Amino acid sequence: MRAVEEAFSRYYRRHSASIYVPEVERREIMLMSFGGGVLRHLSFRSQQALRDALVRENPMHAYHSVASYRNPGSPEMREKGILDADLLFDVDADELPDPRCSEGLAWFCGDCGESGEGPAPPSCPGCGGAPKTLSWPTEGCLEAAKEHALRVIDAALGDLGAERVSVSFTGHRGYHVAVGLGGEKPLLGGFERMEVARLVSGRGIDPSELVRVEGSTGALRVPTVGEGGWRGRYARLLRSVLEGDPPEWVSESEVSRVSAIPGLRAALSSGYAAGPVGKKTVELLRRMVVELVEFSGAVIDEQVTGDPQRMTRIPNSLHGKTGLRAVPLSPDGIRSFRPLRDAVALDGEEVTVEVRVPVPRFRLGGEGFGPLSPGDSVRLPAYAAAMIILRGRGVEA
Amino acid sequence: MASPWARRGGLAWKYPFSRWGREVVEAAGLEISDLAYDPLLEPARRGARRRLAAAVGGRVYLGEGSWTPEVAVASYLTARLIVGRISDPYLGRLFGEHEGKRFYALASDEDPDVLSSLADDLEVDSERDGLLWGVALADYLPLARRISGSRWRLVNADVRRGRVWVRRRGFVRILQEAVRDRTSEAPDPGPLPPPLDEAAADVAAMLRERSARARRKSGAPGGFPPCVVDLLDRVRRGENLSHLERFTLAAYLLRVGWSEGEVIDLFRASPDFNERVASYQVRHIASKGYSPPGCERLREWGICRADCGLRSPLQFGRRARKVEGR
Repeated sequence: MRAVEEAFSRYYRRHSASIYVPEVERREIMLMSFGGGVLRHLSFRSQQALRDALVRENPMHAYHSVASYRNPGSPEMREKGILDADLLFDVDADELPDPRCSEGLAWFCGDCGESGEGPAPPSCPGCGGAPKTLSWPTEGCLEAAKEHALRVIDAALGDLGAERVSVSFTGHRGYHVAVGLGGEKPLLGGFERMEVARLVSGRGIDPSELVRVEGSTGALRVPTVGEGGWRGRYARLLRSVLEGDPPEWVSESEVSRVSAIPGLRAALSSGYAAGPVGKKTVELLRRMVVELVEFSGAVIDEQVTGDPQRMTRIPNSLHGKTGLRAVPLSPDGIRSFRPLRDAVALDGEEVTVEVRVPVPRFRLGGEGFGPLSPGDSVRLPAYAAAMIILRGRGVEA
Repeated sequence: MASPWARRGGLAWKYPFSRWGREVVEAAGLEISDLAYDPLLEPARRGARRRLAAAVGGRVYLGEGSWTPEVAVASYLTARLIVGRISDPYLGRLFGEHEGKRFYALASDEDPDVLSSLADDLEVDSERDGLLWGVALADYLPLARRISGSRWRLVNADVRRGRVWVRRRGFVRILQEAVRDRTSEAPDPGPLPPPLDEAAADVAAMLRERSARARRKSGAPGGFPPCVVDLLDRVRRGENLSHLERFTLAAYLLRVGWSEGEVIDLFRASPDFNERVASYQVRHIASKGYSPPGCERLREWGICRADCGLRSPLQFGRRARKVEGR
């Protein structure tokens, strides 16, 4: 790991001026060293003091609190005195139900050193031990994560009317979106923050709340297109069906049934009752609510949003599992951002790597590498060598 | 046509906690000694007692049509002094519940401008757009949190530009929670003049009676499992339980032989107790013969309090009773 550490150190010495944490004097800072040590409850009076610390400590991972505190350096949570905390949305490719995210998997048995491509078998064919699955950041999977991050951004700007939205690539498998609502009252309660998380993910939506039927008459009440949140999204979905332009996941039978509901168009635009409709139609309409969330909800880790004391990566610091940079992005900049091209941060100084686990063909910083097999010994630029070593697929020769 | 002053007086009558109430206090120069001794405020002292009796009894007392604005505001202030003097958080919660419900009853058909103005007064950030009010998220979330029903959850709501948009009834319901917050905590004013002190003693006695009535309904053979003990404790302390917690408690107690009436009486201690709703639900659970959820479910819901090594809380009672019978 020596060569990777040195590459990190060269990065921090040359680029520490790009490190910037907003309101740094109010943030708790946490650093994790290559040796496994953790420095918590750090606080710095200035950007320069933080930059000096990163150069001095050369951390493997570096975080700052999303919250701002009166005494960020206090080791006791209660004494920190929380002032405010952005809502943090964590999009992690590991959680995405996307086939692009199982590309490049390999496994490795720590007991005997056996390895192979794909997810780990239940037991190691070499020694019967328990092998571990190793993931690999792929362009396709990170693209899927980006789609979910964009959903979060849309909800933040539209529904939440956010005053501030900052996005960042974590440097590994996903994105963090930090949202400041503005206003004088900070939103710090766990329940309140989880409510916002569920608005963004759509989890816990109640289809019978969006599609209501008046018992005696069978009159149908649906949301109108001008509403916000899932209500508006659902109304616009139904309108797209009526206008012959539904998303591709809407089935033929859904199109024909929705199109046959009397008065639906007027109901969607002005809130009048539609129908009457039968039970089958109601069931179908409610199923479409669930499908809508499935196809357009953002997959996020709600626990992260719920907890105001979470940490996020220091912008432009390095991720110790990839050597990539945690890149701050604008809500628009994320669209053209290509992590495996744009987040490469380490230099090209050559490092010899002995491969232990199959490495797929990959591109980094515009260069192509691999595929590599166990036993290969290759000289690679530091940024590519660091990826292989930090992903556990090879060691420094 | 009522004069503007009469209208403002009417607003003080309805919303004594608001700036209209404060205006009356300032104009009349009301002080504690007036509340205690002024013969013209005798109806206010009577009103305060009735207000508190209603709060402790789980009813709503709107007040008397004959009250002048001064009397109406004095009745509220007197009741609040007594609540502050008794300094029992349970009474505070009951009073807040009462004032919230009274507000809802009186404000449901209120003029929209008055509602917006009340929201300002209650420090609820709102904006009106036609038939809708948009409540800022930072205010909506903590207030709506306590209201059950999925329409209040953000994921099912009309959320635009950082506000949750609700119709008049919904807006009044949100404000009800803000009124409850404002009225459920009263500072202790220190020793009161004798007439008010006597009233406080009466209220304290009613409160003790209510707690005792709720407590008498306990004590089953074999004892209760820790989760049920915890739920019972919290109901008796006057905490509002979640729907799942109430269901668990009611289903358990009915299964171990409590009557419907006994279970309903137990829930009387809840600040948001509603006789009609509670009896409907308890009767429903009894008629369907529902069992309380199993231990695994209770653990998931965070209701479980100890690992008793059982699969259902019902086994706890049985096991203990069996041991006793030997």
